[in-house]
Amino acid sequence: MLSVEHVTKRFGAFTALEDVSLSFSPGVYGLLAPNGAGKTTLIKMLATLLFPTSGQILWNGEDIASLGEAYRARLGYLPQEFGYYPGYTPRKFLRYVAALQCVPRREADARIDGLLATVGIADVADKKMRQFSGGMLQRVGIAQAMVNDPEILILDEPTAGLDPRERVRFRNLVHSLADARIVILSTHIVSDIETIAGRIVMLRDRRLLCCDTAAGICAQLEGKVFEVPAGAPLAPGQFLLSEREGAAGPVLRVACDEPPADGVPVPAGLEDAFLYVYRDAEEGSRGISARPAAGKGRRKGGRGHVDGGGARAGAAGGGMGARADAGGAEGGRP
Amino acid sequence: MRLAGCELRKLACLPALWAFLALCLAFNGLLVATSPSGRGAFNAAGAVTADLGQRVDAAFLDSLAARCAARAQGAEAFNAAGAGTAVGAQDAGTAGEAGSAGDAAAADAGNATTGDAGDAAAAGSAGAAAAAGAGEAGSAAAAAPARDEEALLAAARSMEDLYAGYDVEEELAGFYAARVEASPWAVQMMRWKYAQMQPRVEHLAHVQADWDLYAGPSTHDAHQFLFGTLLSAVVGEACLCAMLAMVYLVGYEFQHRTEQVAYASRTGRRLACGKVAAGLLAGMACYALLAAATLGGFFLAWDWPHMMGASVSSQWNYWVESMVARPFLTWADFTVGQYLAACSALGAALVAACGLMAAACGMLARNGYAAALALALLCTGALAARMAFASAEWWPAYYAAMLLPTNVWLSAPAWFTEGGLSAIVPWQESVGAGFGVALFGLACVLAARRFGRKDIVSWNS
Repeated sequence: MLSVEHVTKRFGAFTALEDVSLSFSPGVYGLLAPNGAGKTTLIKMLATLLFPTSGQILWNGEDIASLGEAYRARLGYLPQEFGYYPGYTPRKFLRYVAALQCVPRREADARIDGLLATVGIADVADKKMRQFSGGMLQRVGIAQAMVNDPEILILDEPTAGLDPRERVRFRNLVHSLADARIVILSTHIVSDIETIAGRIVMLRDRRLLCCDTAAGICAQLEGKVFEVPAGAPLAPGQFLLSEREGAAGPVLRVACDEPPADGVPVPAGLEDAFLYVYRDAEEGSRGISARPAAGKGRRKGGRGHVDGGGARAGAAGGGMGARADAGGAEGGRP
Repeated sequence: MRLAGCELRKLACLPALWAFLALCLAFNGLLVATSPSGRGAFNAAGAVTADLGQRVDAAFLDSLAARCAARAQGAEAFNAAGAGTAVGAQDAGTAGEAGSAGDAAAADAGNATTGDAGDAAAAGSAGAAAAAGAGEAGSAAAAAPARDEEALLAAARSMEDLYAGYDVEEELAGFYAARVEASPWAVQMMRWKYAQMQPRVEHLAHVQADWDLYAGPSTHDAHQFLFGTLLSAVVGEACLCAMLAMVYLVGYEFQHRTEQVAYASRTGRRLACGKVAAGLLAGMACYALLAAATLGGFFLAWDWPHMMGASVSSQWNYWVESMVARPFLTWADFTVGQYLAACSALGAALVAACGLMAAACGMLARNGYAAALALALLCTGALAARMAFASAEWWPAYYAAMLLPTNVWLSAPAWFTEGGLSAIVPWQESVGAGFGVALFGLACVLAARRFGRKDIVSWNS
């Protein structure tokens, strides 16, 4: 088991993460938070690229810093900015990564062939990567993260640059890997997490907000999400989540405690929860004074995609407080 | 080793390294092509010492004199035979021409005969010219080594005891002590150094090292060219190759934004050790290639193999520093071959020191360009410091600066000698090279430890 115990990370006067405690057991964990919340900082500390200012990260009870190579041998990591050698082919690059992972050469060659087929680049395995598109490079990145058959797979924005078909393929791949290993997935694409993450870790204000199932998170907002026609003003206490094209025209999804007059209750999704949790604190406190006109000022609509960069963690939790899950993964503050 | 091999393959794909090597070899070729004149005399000395040995004694002089006499007799006989042949051929040609002219009127009667006679006459004239030319060339070719050997004989006959009665204190110590008089410590050390040298002089006198011919009058120029110019160039180029390779390798992951992949792997930050090992190997390989190609080409043209047994402390060998010419006094007995081996080994140590210096800079700076800048500042700074301290007569600081790799390299013409003003202790160049390896090796270890505890921040953060 991988556990994060009261980890704080500061860069000079700036605090990137504060007093975060988590445990990971085999399964898929989604790390969901807007930009600057500390996701990548947490992931880099799990990957031993950063060292906690205080607290510790333990693997089976031992500090990963002291375990060193013994821990990293179990780790596969795809960074958010995946660098590569332009003059290398995927096969040659994966061989180099296999050497870095101390995988015996014969074993590495066999595994590389399988990985190239799995991620769908077997036909370009011997072409130089400088000719590759972003999606193809991302697939190479996923393959290199799995060269050593890791017990802990950490993927930072793994579906960036992948088209929908590739994203489905990736989700299926992660599903197939999750049984016997810990998979930690950091992404802004809510639909990726919704479909494959057993537990979702949310960070806000550089602290842990919750670590729960998608259903558990959405349950907090159950009965508070409504769809109203676009054009009518928002009442105080109503928070605009998103906009979509309904059958009869554009509709707005709003969150509020009291049902709006012309609102239709809808099930809360993870995207709604994300937008609600990370709504602007000012907007949250005064409410939205007017609904935007149809076609203007939209947040990106449609289910399954959220631009996490547009939402910031709010000061008021609004029902999304820290919550310990008794099911085997724990998180949050006491 | 597997990772070092991977890193070496990265270097092998770097065009700039191969281009730089090619430029160095071209430059060295130019140096060899413009090597000092006197190759003929040098090679003649080589031929002589191959037959007669290096030690100039009565037997050597007699043998050399006999050799010169025999060569002179042979040349005279050759010239005489060659002159007769040429005159005879010329006469035959003249007679043939006269005959053909005389028979021209009777061409109808004997065309073939006339033609044959004419042809013979023409052939005879051509043959005369060829024979005369060959004779002259042969005389010149025979005369050149003969002249060289005669000059060598004359030089050998002029040799005297050099080291018997040679007083280092009187000749050198006082001079240099006066140069560093601003620092009592330096004065004391300088006198101490030459006090250590005096027993060496007496030993050299005892073994009569000064009576080795080496290359006779050609010795100084040839020796300084080989060791002070050519080998020095090779070592300097190899140092640059080692630094270039090391900075490239250590900064490779930063440059390609692959740090996170590389350092989160099982190998992790230990990858830096593999890179340093590969950089050092590459530096040594470049050194071996440059030395083999450059010196090999040079040795094909100059007869150095026959000089390898000569003492470098021959009275014909000297070096000049502070406008003072002094014998080539070394701290140990060196034949030319042993001296070449020692200089090569010292050069390898300097290449290692420079490689380690580059590795430390690379690990501290992470960015290859910043590391290269830091290296340039270190190398030029060492030279500037030396010059500044000498001008200001801060002699303790000056001698500390002399231990740095750049300044050790610059003193190449006088490695393993008393060193003049540039050295304050015996074997200073060896001390400097060892100091460089130790200092930058330690810097590498400390940089690696710091790197092992340093956060890997994103490329664009």
